[in-house]
Amino acid sequence: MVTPDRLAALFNAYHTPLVRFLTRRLGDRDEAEEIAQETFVRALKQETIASERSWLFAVASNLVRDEARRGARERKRHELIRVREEAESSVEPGPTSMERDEDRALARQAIEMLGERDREALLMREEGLGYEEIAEALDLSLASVGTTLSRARRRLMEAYESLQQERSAERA
Amino acid sequence: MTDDRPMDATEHPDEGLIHAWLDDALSAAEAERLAAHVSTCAECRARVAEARGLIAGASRIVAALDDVPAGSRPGWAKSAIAAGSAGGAAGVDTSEAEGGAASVPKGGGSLWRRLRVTPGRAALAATILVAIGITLTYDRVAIDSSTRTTAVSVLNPQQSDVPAATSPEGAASEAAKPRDALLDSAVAKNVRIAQGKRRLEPARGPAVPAAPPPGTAHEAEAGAAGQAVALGRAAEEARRESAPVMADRARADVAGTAPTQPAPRATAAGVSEMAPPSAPTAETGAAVQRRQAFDGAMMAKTSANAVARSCILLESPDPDARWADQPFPLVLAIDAGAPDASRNAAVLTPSGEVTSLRAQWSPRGGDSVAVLLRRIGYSGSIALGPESGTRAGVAVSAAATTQLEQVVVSPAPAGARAESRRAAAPSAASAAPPAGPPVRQLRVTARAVGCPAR
Repeated sequence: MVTPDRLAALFNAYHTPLVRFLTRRLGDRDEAEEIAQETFVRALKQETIASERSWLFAVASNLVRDEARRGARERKRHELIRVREEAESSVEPGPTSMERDEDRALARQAIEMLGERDREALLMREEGLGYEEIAEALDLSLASVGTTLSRARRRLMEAYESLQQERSAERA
Repeated sequence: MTDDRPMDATEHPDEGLIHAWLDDALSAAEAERLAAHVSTCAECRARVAEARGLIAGASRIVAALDDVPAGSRPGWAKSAIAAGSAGGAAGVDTSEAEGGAASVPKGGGSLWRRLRVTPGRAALAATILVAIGITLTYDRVAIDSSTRTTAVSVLNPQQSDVPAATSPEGAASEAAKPRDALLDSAVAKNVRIAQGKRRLEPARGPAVPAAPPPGTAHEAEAGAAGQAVALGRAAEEARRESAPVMADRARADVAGTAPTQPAPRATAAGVSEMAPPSAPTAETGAAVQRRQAFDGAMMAKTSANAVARSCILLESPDPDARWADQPFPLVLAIDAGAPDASRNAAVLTPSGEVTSLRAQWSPRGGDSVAVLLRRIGYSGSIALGPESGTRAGVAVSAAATTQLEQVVVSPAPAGARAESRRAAAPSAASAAPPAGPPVRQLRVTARAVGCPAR
């Protein structure tokens, strides 16, 4: 069983990248932190964890999918909270923050247009996971990780460009 | 990779293999074979350049997702970290896991978030309640004590030389000591909670890959893409290491090392939780003073290091030299700020007229500077060398199908590129390279000038 000390070490090492991965995946920081917390609680119940990082990311990904199955009601609530927060925090936004907001919205739309596996592989890679870890976390063959990542990157870029062109056309 | 089958010299690597190579995920032998092939195959060099652009572009898009409202680490998490630090429970490569990034605190936050109940905040509330209760108790004891002392003094005038601590003033003073300590503890804890709001920093790990050398020969496309990626990486690093972030990180370190962290204890479930409210009583006002002094020093340092708005004249000896749609010479009016941090800049004509361009001035190592173009519809950058009176450098820019300034990809529409990629499939060995026109590189010089009148 994972000891509290070991859990603390795991937490110290992986909490930040895990929350960042989940935040990128979900677009909601609070939900990301909740799922990260649940991930570490589950780690505590494990007898042994062979590959810690890939295990944590795999469990977090599974929890995200479980969360998605629980229905849209909760997500709507979070969306309302987020909208409220953005409304509260949008005090005199400068032009750069507007550009950032626009970039973020486009990035969010583009990332949502990817397939589930492509998205998770890409986000895991961006968190520094190696090909072996990604293969283990997503139950892929090692040889297919490169193909998955190249497809994810290409589709993400194409989706982003397409959204940008739509945005430009709307403004024109 | 496990796929170590020999690659035929005429066989083109698939896109996945190229990405794996750029991600440094191939075995040495396989990487060598692929490098040898790419060095002799123009088509594959173009595909490698395109893959680099895709990797850098995708990283930038993913990084844009990080700009989300920050929350805070849950209280149990803080205790877990403290337990890990205090217990010396090492064994995990933090630098690898963090991708070289560290969380930095972020001030502010919405009212909703501030009111959100977390275990840490609940513990803080309990601490304050206990502090108030103890304070009232001490006050009551002090009043009772002073009343009794006064009564004794009145009844026994010869005992009026009692120690000062038993006089009404002395009793109040004694009572004030624990009260101040408790209030200081509560205030310090409040400050720590407020400073504990974390903001996730974009990952650094594989965001822009350190690509292995593609071979002995470099075409213009590959070179331009590599330069763009390198400039993008330098600019991104400079932005992340900007002064405010460093100050916040340093402040977080101080907060983390100050002897104010309550000792964690393990629950039956094994997860550390906040220490009981009585634990923080060890904290004194000195911790708060130290933190305030540090904050003041950091603010003073930041303001002392800040440089005023400055202007740089950019000139190019090349004919018909333009940066995006603006002809040289141009003036960069760089905003005030920390000298080693990225700063926004307006792009002006020498007469002071504002152009449609914007830029970001990003110092790099060795006194060199990357200037990134901010203009919708264009991508571009200027790399400037160290300053010796003037800076010499290279400027590139092009109309972009993507607005990602660090990315150099084919300017053809996405659909057309997809078609061209299909035409360039491995089986079509004789197909023409799908690369776009090479990006023109302009020689530029930069020197400091007085800013034109606005």
